[in-house]
Amino acid sequence: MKKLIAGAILLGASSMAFAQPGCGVGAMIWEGQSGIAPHVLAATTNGTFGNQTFGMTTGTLGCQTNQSVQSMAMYMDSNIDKVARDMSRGNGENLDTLAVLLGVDQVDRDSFRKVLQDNFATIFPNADTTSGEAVDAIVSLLEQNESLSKYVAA
Amino acid sequence: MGYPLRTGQATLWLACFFATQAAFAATPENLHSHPVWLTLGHYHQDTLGSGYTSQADDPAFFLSEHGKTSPRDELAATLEAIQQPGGGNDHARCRFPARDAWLREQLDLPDAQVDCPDYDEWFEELNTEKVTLVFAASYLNSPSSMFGHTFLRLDPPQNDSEADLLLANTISYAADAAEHDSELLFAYRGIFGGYPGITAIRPYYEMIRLYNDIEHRDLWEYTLNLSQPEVDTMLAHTWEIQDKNFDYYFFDENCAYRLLALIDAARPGTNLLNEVSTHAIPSDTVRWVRDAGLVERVHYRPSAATAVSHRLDTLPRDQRTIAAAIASGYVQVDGPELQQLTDQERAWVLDATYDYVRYQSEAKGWPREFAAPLSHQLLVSRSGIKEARDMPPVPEPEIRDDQGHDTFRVSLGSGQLAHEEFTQLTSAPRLPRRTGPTRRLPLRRPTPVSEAGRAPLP
Repeated sequence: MKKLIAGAILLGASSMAFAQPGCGVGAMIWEGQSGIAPHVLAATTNGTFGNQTFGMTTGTLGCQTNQSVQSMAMYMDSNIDKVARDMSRGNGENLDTLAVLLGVDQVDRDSFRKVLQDNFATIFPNADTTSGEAVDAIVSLLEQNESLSKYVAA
Repeated sequence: MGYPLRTGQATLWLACFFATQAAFAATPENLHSHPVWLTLGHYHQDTLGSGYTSQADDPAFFLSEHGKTSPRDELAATLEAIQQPGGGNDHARCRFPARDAWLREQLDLPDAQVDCPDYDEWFEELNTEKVTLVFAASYLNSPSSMFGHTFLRLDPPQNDSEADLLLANTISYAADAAEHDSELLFAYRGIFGGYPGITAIRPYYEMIRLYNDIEHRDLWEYTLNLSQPEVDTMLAHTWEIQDKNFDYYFFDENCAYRLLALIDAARPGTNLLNEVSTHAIPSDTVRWVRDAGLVERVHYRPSAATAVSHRLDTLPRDQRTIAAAIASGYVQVDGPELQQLTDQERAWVLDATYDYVRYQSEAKGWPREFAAPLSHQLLVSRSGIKEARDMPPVPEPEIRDDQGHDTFRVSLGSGQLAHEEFTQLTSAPRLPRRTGPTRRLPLRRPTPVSEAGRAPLP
C-alpha cells in the first residue's frame, strides 16, 4: 500500500505562479482554470481570460494602462455573479474587493458603493452583458465622478 | 568533510542552542540529527534499521548526492554551499532560505545579505502576517470529499485598507486529477483516484468559488497563532519544497500531511507529523492543530447552499412563498405580490430568490435562458432599494469538525445537508434549529402565471 502515486510536480519558481488579478505572469495561469460551472448572470469569457476578452476603452494589452482596472477586470471575470449581487445590494465583500483592487480610499468607499448600486442597470443593461462590458461601464461611470475618477485614470 | 567551525563559534552556538532547545543535546557532530534539520529535510526514521530517509523524491531537493538517505551528508553539503560567496537565484542560500537561516543561527555564522531576486519578489508578493488553516467540510455525495480538504491561507497584514482576505493567497497540496489536461487544473478529486499531487499557490476567492459555490462545502478558517518569524520560516520552507517532487501517498502523505510538515517547520517542537500513524485525515489534522494550541481564532464561512437555505428560512412563510413563486416563474419580479411588501421585506425576498436561482443554476443546471433573465431582473429590482438592512449572518453550526470524536462520525456529522435532498429545497436539514415541516420549491418551470395563482407549496 505504498507509493500509489509518484511525482508530485509542484508549481515552481519558474512559473512564479500567482493567480492574482494583475498583469504579467499572474494573468497567464488563469487560462483554463475557470469554467468549472457556468455563471448565472452574465455571459463571461468561457472560463478563460484573454486579451481579446475586453473591449476596454482603457486598453487591454499588458500593463501599460491602468493596472488596477486590469485587476478588477480579472476579478470580475471570475466572480461576476457575486460581484453583481453585491453591487445590487450596495454592499458586500466582493464589492469591497473591487474597491481594494482599484485602490479606492476608505473616505471614498461609500460613494463608490453608491455609484455602482445606483447605476446597476447601466453596468448590466441585460442578462447577456459580459464581464468586459461591465468593466467598461464601471470605468466610464467612475470617470464621470469627480471624486472617483482618479482611481481609473490611465 | 568537516564543519568549518572555529572554537569560538562553536562555544557561542552551544550557549545559544541550550537556551532554546534543551531537549536535544546537540554538538556540531550530531547537528544532522537535530529535529529541526530532520524536519527541514523531511527525514523520517527507517522502519528497519536506524537510518533516515527523506520523503522528498527529487534530486533538486538535495545538495549532496546521498542527501536522500544521509542527513549528515546533506548538512555538510548545505553548510559548504551556503558559505560560498556570491548570490543570485541559483545560490544555495536562495534555493534553501530556511536551511540557511537555521544553520546560521545554530552555528553563529555571519549573516551577510544575499541577493535572491526571485525569492525576494515571491516573498514580498505573498506579504504574509498570519497563516490560517482552512478546512473544507465534507459532504456525503462525493466520495472524494468524504474526509474534507485542508489548505493554508496566507493572510496579509490587516491594519490597512488594502487588506482583503478574498485576495489572500493559499497554499494547497492535492492530488492532480488531470495533469495532462492542464498543468493548472485544480485537482482535488484525485485523493481517492490515484493521481499525482501538486502544491499550488492560489487566491482565496478561487478556493471559495470551488468549495463554497461549486461543491457547496462549508469552510472553517482556523487562524494560527504563529509569530511573524515563524510565519517567515514557513514561507522560506515552502519556497524550498514548492517545485519539488514528493511522492503522493494514498492515506498518510496526502493533502493534509504536507501542510502539517510546513507547520512543524514553522514552529520547531510542534511535531504534528508524529500524530500521523496510518492516515492523515483532514478533519483529524485540524484537531491535532487545535490540540497543539496553535489556533488563535475560528471563523465559519457557509457554503452557497447553506447560505441559501438560511436566507429562505429567515423569510416569513408568506414571503418565502413569494420567493418560490418568483423562482418558478409564477410571479413577476415587479408583480403586485412584491409591490405590497415594504422595501425592507422586498429586499430580502429578492436577495433570497437571486441566491436560490444562482444555486439551482450551478448545482442543478437550470437552463440559462430561464435563469439569466430572471437573475438580471431580480438584481435590477434590488438595486433600486437603498439602505436595506443585511440579513443576519448564517449561524455557526453547533458542532465544528474539529470537535467530533472520530473520523467516521465527523465525516457524517459535518456532511451538512445531503446534496440531492437540498436540491428539492428541503429547508435547511443541516441547521440544527429547524422546526416544522419541510418545504420544497418546485424545480421545473411550471404552468403559465395566469393559471397558477400561487406556487404549489406543500
